[in-house]
Amino acid sequence: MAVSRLARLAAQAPAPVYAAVGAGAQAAVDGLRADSRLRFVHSPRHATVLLVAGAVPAPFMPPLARVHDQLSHPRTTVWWTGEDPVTIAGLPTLTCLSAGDDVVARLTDAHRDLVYGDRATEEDLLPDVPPNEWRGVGENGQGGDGMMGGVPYGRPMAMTADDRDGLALDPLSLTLGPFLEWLPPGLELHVTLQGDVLTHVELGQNPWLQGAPLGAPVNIDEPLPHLQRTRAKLRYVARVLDLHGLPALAHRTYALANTLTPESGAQIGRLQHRLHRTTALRWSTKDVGHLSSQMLGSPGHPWNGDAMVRWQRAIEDARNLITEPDQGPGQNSDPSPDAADLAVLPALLTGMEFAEAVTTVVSLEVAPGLPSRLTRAPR
Amino acid sequence: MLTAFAAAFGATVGMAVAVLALRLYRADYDPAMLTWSRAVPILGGREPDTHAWSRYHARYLPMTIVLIAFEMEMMFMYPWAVVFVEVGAKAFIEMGVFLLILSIGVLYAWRERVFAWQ
Repeated sequence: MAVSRLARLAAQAPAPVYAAVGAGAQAAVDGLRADSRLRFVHSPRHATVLLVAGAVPAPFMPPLARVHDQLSHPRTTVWWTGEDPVTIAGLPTLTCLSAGDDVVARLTDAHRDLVYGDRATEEDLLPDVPPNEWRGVGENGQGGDGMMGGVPYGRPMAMTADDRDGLALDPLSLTLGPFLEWLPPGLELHVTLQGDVLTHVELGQNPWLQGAPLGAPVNIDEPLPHLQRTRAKLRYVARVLDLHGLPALAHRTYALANTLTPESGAQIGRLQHRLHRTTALRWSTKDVGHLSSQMLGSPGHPWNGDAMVRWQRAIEDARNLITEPDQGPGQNSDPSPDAADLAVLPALLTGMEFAEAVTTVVSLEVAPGLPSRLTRAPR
Repeated sequence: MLTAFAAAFGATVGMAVAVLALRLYRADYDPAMLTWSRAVPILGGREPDTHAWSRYHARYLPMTIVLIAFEMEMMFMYPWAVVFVEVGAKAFIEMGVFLLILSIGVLYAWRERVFAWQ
């Protein structure tokens, strides 16, 4: 039958996964990105499986439920906690994985079961009602004060305001939420957009950035800490590549980060050479998101410079770190950025266009967060 | 003969595929089947604070006016130029009326600072 042949083809394809990264799980999820049996997508709409990795505190469960509901059908959820299993009332088919499980196999199994119909698609967790009801004067919600007449669904209609280009576009305020790929996990940005220019930026509180700074080893069982830091730098570079439209190169870099040995210096050198020849990445990141020493408060801060300087410095550090083993954590590295350094973001991002802002945020390497038991999973 | 049949067959197959695709993926655009979570833009978990019914700038408008006022006028003047020599003054006056109507658009564009180079 044509349907089952299509289903078989679909089941053999890489499983589209959207990763909602929780506390301390960024490194573990980055370890999965090199696997060719999975395809990490940039949007929940393109995903079949929602992978929730790490701990998600209770205040962040409603946004997680919203992201879950935004996946297209058929969909399922896999929760990779590494600790006690989690049960959610609205998700009877939730798969819970602990530290020792083969995550990739379980993700591909979930995808295959969905495609073949062995597993039912998950229903919505949040009710299908607007979060605010329509408020108006008339019986159908029409009427009200002001030029726009009323407050539809509790939200004001956008009025015009002067903007950078003299177009008087409407300012739209929204919150870029905790589970976006290009933001550090758990960070919320309250922004006001006019067109694609950010006119006002406020940081939300990020509870997941408190924790181990960048230089310290996240996995305490790792015998070679400098390999750990090299791996973190390579994964950062891979993320920059992925979010600037170079997925194949990003995949190679994630794979290199997974198979890192003390003899990988030549491979990193080749990668560095390859990156320096990438014109598009240089043009996207040159002179974008320039941070000076005054803004950062110290001359040797790792975030100094523009986005291009930051990723070039990261790959250079990766190549140097692999050849020089350290005496201990934090010996050869500058003060690591942490949650307090993100306070430069509002002043930096205000006035930028959206694409520039994404490039800037992605170029800032932040601490991976609290170490979690996910990173002790055997490879 | 065969190419015409192939073209017709291909067109029928194409239309059938389009209809089937629309029926299969109705949930993605049918407002009756769309749930609130999938109608809200993907922001990573939160909802927007202002309404999505907002105005946006038609940035293509100056270029469109210039295109129609000059390019389309040129297009009509090419065949006119061929017959103008035979027909004479009548054709001249007709083209003059056409250009007069288009010049109203040019005047509007001029007043809207479309030709100002900043």
